[in-house]
Amino acid sequence: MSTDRLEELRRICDTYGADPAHWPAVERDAYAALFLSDEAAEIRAEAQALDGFLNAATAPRMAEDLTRRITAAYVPPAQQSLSVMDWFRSLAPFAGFKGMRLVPAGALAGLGAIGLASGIMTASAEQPLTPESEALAYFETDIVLASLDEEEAATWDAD
Amino acid sequence: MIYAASYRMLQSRDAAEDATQETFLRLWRNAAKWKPRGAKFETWLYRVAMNYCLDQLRKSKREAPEEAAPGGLDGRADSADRQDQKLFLSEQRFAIDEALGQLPERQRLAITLCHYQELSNIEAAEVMKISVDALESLLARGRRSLREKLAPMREHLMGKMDDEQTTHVN
Repeated sequence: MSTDRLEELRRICDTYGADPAHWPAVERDAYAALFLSDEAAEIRAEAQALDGFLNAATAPRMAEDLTRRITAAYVPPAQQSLSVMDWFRSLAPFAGFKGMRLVPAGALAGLGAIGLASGIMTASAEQPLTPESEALAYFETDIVLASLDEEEAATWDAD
Repeated sequence: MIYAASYRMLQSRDAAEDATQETFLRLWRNAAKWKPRGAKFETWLYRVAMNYCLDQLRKSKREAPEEAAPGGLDGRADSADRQDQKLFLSEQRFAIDEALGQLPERQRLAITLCHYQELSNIEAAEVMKISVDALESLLARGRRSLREKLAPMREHLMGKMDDEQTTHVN
């Protein structure tokens, strides 16, 4: 095994850690096999040790009432638009809201393709939308979902 | 995800909640102005949140790190071993939080985005508005620094494992 390849593997692990899933695709394809070899044992152990420490530092769960507090910042809804609702619903995973994985992760990319934000806000509504009202509609939906446990949410999702 | 990333950066639950709220308020205020221009929405949202976090860090020096959520505490009396294990885990988390908190902001942000939020190097570089090479440099320096800061803990851990093995043998 060439020293150069081991050194490159060390650089990758020093940068991205011991989980090849975190590596860029090109490096993963080129070095994943070497990573598992005996020659790379020391590099692997070193990177795994640091990853282990990092993974032990769990972030606390978001406060249950954070969604409510966010909601409180908005004016009650006058009307709803399904497309806008979908848009807001798709944001939920990024806020870490519980039980809100109702829209596939790929939906976000799709949103960009159909002209997110300005497009949805204006083109999809028959009548002028009140931004605050749509936001509240979204967050109210979230509050309902947040009250479901994961199993219930999964069942609802499947429906 | 926004909350978790904000917590990693600010190391305070209250501050992370404020960051999450502020991110969504800014999102709403600016949603109509947002144009895809090839950027993913996720990247944009992270950028809003992380910029807010960096602003907060710059405004006031970091608060003392909070202890992570004590998941699993149920009020029952624990055995001495379990209490010892909890104490050790708590110390470990504290040390890691502290080590992360001592990193320069941009190194911490790079590790938060790539390791914890599992963004690709290209996405993380977009959030930070830097090149992939610059991101890799931040990641490598950040991880090297963490390894050095956490070396005593690793030695402690290895020593503890040795002690346990000795106990089992005896």
